[in-house]
Amino acid sequence: MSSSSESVVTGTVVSFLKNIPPFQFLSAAELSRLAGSMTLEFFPKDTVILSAGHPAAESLYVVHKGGVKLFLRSQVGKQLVLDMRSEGEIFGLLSIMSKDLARLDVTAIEDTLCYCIPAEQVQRLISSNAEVANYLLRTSVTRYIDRSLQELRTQTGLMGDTERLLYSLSVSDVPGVPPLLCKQETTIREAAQMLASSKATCVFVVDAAGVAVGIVTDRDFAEKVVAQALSLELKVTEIMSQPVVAVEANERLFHVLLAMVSRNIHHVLVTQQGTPAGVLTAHDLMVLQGKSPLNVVRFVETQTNVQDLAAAQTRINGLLPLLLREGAKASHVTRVVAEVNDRLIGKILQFAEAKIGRAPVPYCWVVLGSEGRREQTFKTDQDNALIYEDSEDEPKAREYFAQLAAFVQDALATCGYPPCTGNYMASNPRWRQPLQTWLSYFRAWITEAELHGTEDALIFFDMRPVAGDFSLFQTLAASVRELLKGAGMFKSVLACVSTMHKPPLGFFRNFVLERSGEHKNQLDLKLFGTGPIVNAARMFALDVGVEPTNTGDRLSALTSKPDRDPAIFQDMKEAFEFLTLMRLECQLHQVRDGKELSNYISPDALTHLQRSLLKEAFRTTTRAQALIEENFRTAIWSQLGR
Amino acid sequence: MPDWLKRKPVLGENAELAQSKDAPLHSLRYVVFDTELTSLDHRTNRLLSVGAIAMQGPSIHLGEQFYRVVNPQVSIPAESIVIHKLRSEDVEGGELLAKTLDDLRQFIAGAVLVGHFVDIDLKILRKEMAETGHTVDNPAVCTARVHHWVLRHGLYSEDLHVQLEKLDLPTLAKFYNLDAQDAHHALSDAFLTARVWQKMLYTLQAKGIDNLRKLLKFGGA
Repeated sequence: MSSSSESVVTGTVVSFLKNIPPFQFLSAAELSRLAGSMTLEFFPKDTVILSAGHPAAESLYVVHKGGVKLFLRSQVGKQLVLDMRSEGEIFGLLSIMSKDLARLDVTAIEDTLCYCIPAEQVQRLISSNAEVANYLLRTSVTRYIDRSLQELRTQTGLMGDTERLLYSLSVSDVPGVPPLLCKQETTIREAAQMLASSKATCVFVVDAAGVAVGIVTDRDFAEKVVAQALSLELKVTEIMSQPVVAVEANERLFHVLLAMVSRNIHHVLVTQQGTPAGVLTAHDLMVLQGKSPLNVVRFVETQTNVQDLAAAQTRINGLLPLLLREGAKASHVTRVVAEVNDRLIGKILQFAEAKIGRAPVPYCWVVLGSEGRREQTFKTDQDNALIYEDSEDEPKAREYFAQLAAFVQDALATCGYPPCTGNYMASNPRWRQPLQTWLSYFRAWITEAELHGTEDALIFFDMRPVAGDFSLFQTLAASVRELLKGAGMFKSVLACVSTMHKPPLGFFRNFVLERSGEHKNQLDLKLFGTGPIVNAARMFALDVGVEPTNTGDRLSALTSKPDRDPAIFQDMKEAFEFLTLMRLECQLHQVRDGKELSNYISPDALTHLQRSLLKEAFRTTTRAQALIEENFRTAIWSQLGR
Repeated sequence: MPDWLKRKPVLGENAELAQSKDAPLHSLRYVVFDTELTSLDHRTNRLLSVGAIAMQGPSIHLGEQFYRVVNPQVSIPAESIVIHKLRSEDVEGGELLAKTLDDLRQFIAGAVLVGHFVDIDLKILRKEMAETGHTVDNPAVCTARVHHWVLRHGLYSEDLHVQLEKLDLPTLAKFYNLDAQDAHHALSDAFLTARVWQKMLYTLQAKGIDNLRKLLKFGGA
């Protein structure tokens, strides 16, 4: 009587939960038992359910009716909505996993009913049901970390770096070592010798099919062989520990930690479709904390030839996913890339001078375009030029710098930076000139803008010195700033170029909604995303003589100019940060999937949140372009009327 | 055996509760309950079934529920069978009344009772318990009376007089935007009442009714 009648209450819960992942993986009996431990809570609209920094949730919340929003509060008190959850969706998992403090604010956006599952029941489910664990840890945690936190990159210090890494990285992101394998017939002595002669701390015993059936660690030798005085000629199977705890390479690193902690073990086998592929130790997890771009810089500094230097790019590209997932801001990531590339060029120039001798006159190696702005992503080619001091013996200088530029171009190509398709390289004699010639180039671009390909010359206005005698660059830059003080026509051309690519309106279903009303399947994040902001920032910066070339720096400098409203520059900076991050993320996935790098993104790959943030970024860009048109209108008209 | 059954009622616990009338409503334990009877004639009717569910403040504890069908050892009139759908055959296997009441007393110990038209339920419980020398001394709240008060202290609406006359549970459920099901099953009615009470607690809080003393002035049985 009692069990069937209990279903009146718990039955409603069971019938609700059985259609909701991950509870659908549970049997009716398990669901019924779970329902008995749950509570039903009601939160009137605007109730604060969880509050960041306050004690963590004691339950996992399943929204039954209504909806909640998850948000972060920035240091200035601004709400950053990360996500909304409605009927059948869960929240509070990260909070109960972290145990101490809630990570996010959660507020009911309408009258909301939630079923609450006590934390200890959730823990029990995770440890007893692999499917539930997979779903909860992978889907939910990934949803939080991968999408939300990576998208927003707040500086509020939501988690410690290590904790964040564990949640966000997959096993394959960590460079593990190949596992040491031995057969079941191997003797204890042979296994001990294998261990002794390698850096490994464990040996996996595999069967005929190559499946790991046991593990032998130092501890087994100490506790079983030495302590029990076993014969070394016995088979290794006598002392191996079972079962082997293995994780697939695509699992979250968090699983490794979970396995290590829950079973008190120090070695976890990494498999690829069941085949042993690597081993992760507790030590590896600790070393994660020490991952640093400094190591790459140090690596560059200590190399002695171009061939060895080539590994630097692989290293830095390997570091980017880590940095990104670690929560580094996009602008920091691109700066790290620039720093490494700068060091690389410096090193290559050292090699060049060692080979072909010292330069006859001082020179300055400069980089252009995105490299000049310190905004390179994965896709990086050579954009550089060379300025040398005006010389008495011009043919000799020309001869020397031709050799130097050729050496650098080859070396960079060896290191994985393909030559520039537009031939904007010092190896092109046009872009390898004495200071006087450079001055005449800029004078022509600025004073006779309508006659020259100013649009193409734009990358030269993002010039930045990286090696050699910086005073050459500084002399040139000072002259350029002087020339820019008037230059109405130049600015009109610049304004025209800067507002040429209008960002789309937003999205309509799975299309990019263009201003024309036309729909496109894909969005070019560079052409319509970061590009227009770069151009607008350059426009404003050159207009008032802001020196830095980095878009973020330009915008920061502009916010402190008294005659301009700083809000637009602040918004542009945030929009640029977000768009760059999207580009990086997008390329990160392309790299991982072995695809050709591009800046295209399909709307259907975007989360709801990404869409709304993109739309916000487009709106900012549109405002900036309107401001440019307003400020340089007459100039643009005269330009158009030409 | 469920945990709550292991709890031994402490003598005077309910009386003590009656004194803690200044405690916040959100901090009290509630047992929301409903009964089904052999008939509505209070002189001759007997208890047929009782359903109850526990709440800690506004939080409904889904596992802490109580449902018993009692063998009333009298015949059940046809006109009430069509309401609660319990025939003599259904209650034959039912528990002895004394056992049900013993367990129920433990379940409600230390809790404020809540029911829809709770006077009817209290009356039968007290009548049945009196036979074994017990009584029910828990404070009790009637959701119908509370709703009546809420309506009169809410925004004036044209059909207020109509609303004030219709205080049945399905009407309240609709008012609070809740799905009703399995009406006239003691446990599901108790559950529905609990869900109404859950929302009422917030409504009351918003209207400044934050302790038992204030509540019992108009909502008590």
